[in-house]
Amino acid sequence: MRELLGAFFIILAIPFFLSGTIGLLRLPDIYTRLHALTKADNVGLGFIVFGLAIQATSWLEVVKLFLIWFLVLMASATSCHLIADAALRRNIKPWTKE
Amino acid sequence: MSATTSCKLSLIFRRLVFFCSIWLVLSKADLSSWPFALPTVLISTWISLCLGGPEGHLLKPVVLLRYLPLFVLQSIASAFDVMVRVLNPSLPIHPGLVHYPLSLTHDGAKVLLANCITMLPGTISAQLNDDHLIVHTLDTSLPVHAIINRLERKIANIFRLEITSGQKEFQP
Repeated sequence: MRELLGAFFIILAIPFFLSGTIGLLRLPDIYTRLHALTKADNVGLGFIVFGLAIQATSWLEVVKLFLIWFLVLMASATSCHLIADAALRRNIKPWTKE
Repeated sequence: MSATTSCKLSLIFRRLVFFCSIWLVLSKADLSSWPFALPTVLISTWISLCLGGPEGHLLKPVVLLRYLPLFVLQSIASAFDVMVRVLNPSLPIHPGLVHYPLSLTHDGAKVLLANCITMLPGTISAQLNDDHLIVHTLDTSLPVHAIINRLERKIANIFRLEITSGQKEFQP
């Protein structure tokens, strides 16, 4: 039962990672691509962590998994901010309709 | 012992406990790893104290925990938002930059605000200046100012800060 429930959440992560990658390919500029990569991938990883936590055998493993998620979350928010900041400093104009 | 010394000692002690507990989690509570763990924990504590950080303003952990489910839900909502826009053949985006005048003055609170904005649907923080924040949004028709203002209040609450109720005028 726990195996199946865990697998369900891990599979649920796939559409999020997929839409992050499709966004990277389809969106027009650096800023909009950052949206796709940070948001979709964070939630994808969140579902994988949640699925694995359900299957975990000890509570230390659960804490470790959520610690990994938290650190990746911080790292991706920070690097997203740094990339956008660097792009603005180089006067890269955000893409707009028309 | 003066008040500042005891305050500093309690800060060092809290950091030590924090890094020890992280080590316990990472090593699955395997105490035989102490010859490596001890110097690592001490160096981490020293580095974190050198880098400074939020002192004086203590976080309210209970308030932080109360907002946590909201942050998780909004993060999932923002991933759905990206998914719907990206998979739609017509790619419905109207991106643009928004300038937001900050009411928060505490550095730690500003960084937390910038990181949380990146988790909200349709917005990422692009540049954090002293008194204003540049936000990039996927849809300029979103009420970005109102959304950030609500978040700013919550973060002020977590950090026990008072913020001015009216918004400052800002000319870019």
